[in-house]
Amino acid sequence: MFWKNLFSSDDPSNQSRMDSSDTLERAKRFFEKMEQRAKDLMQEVKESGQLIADADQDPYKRSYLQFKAAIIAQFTGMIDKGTQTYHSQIMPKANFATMLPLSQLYTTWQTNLLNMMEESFEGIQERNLEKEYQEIMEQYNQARKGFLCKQCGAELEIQQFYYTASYITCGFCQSQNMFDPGSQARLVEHMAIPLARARSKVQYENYRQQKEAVGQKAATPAYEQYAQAILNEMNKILPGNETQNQNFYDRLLKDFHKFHVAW
Amino acid sequence: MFKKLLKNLTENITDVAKDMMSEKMNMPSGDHTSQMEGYGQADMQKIFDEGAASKGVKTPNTATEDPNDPLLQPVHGISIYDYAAGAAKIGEGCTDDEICATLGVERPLWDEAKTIWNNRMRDDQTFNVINVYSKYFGKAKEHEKLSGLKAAKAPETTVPEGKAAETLTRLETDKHYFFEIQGAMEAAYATGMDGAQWLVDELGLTVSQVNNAGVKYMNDFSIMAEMMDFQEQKKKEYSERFSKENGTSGVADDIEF
Repeated sequence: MFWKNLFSSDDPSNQSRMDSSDTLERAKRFFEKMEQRAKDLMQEVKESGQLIADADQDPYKRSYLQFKAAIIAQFTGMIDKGTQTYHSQIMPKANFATMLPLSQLYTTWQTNLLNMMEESFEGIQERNLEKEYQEIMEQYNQARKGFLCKQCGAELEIQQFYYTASYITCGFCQSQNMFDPGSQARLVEHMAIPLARARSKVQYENYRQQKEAVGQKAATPAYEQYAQAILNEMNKILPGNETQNQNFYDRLLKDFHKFHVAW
Repeated sequence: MFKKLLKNLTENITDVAKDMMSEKMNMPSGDHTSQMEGYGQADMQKIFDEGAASKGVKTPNTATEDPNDPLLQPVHGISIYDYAAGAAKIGEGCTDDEICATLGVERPLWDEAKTIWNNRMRDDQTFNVINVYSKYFGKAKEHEKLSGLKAAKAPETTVPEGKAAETLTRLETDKHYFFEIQGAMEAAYATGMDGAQWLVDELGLTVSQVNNAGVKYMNDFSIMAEMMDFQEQKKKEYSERFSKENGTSGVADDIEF
């Protein structure tokens, strides 16, 4: 009697076991297809992302960032769809035997997609700050030559780097002239911090290695060296701004001691 | 991204645990009670305000304007209101030269004032200056001199000016419409469109004008919490609309369980 019931197709418990193993197989196929689609997307981004970034001549890289936002939305859309399907269609069909494998299947898939989303943009240099900075400084050096006093016509020497409109007194007639460095030079104020960070990569990597080895608190001297390197670079990029640059350095250290830094 | 974050936390768990313990021991007991009251009344803004205050940080609701605060003193006669309203106008397409002419200051003074105001916001660890700035950013349309300034080269649109002005008023007074447009902008970017351009084409308004209209909503956590689901729903509706209009879709739309 027992054996008859075990193999009977009319037996409800037998039907339930078939449904749940079918569910597990279907879930595996579903998540495999979704993951493959994500891999295809990641591959496309890796092949074309840098080209799109390089082609975008906008100083704020708005077209590239629009592209990036759309790709991220595709990944989050897939994760949403997988999550909704898991909760509304897959788990209601699970039983005690398939619940754990289904849960692990979903969690692994979700982690893989998040990793792929991050990996898609790894290595893409959104802005070549050093190149931009050099181009801006070349233009600035051209612009400051031939700056004439509006009163007496004498050529005025612009000795330092001005990133905002500034008053220049004529050494001959003492008239006050207004020197406008142009829109490109103004960008330097806003790129100083990321450029200084980019130039301090060696110190940054050293700090990261120290932190991995001995933890954040013990890695404090390495972080201070990194912050000092950033400060030194900022003083080169924005001369005349030393007080503000020092404030930024002090803030970096204060935040480092106050908060646990996850990176 | 999340896997790496968790990995670092696990490896430095002793640091995290020590920080948590020292923060718990330093937390003033009175703030905890006040926060619990906020939780009981589901007043998200109060919870946020009290939590921020316990860390010595100001919020839009608790920011103060002490006339003797050195960080709030005008720079070359340019007040924080002038600076914030000017920034809002730049967002509408006005140039720095137009703002200087309207305020009656020369460009070097305006440039230096901008730098100094930015530096003060960066240095102020209580976030008071930035919160005062945000308040005045939202009041650009009431500024004595700058409210009437229109950009000589405003973004081109086929939306009539009167219609755009009506839409602006609706954004300021209709909370649901404001969050609907926020959802629409999110949907635009998610489907690969230029959200800012869509606003200009569809409503005749800039991002700055739209966001300015809703500063009072965005500074209130209770309202943002209340409208979160509505905004998400609108985002979905606009996503479907944009996908149809542009012939785009999700890369995995064809995959079914």
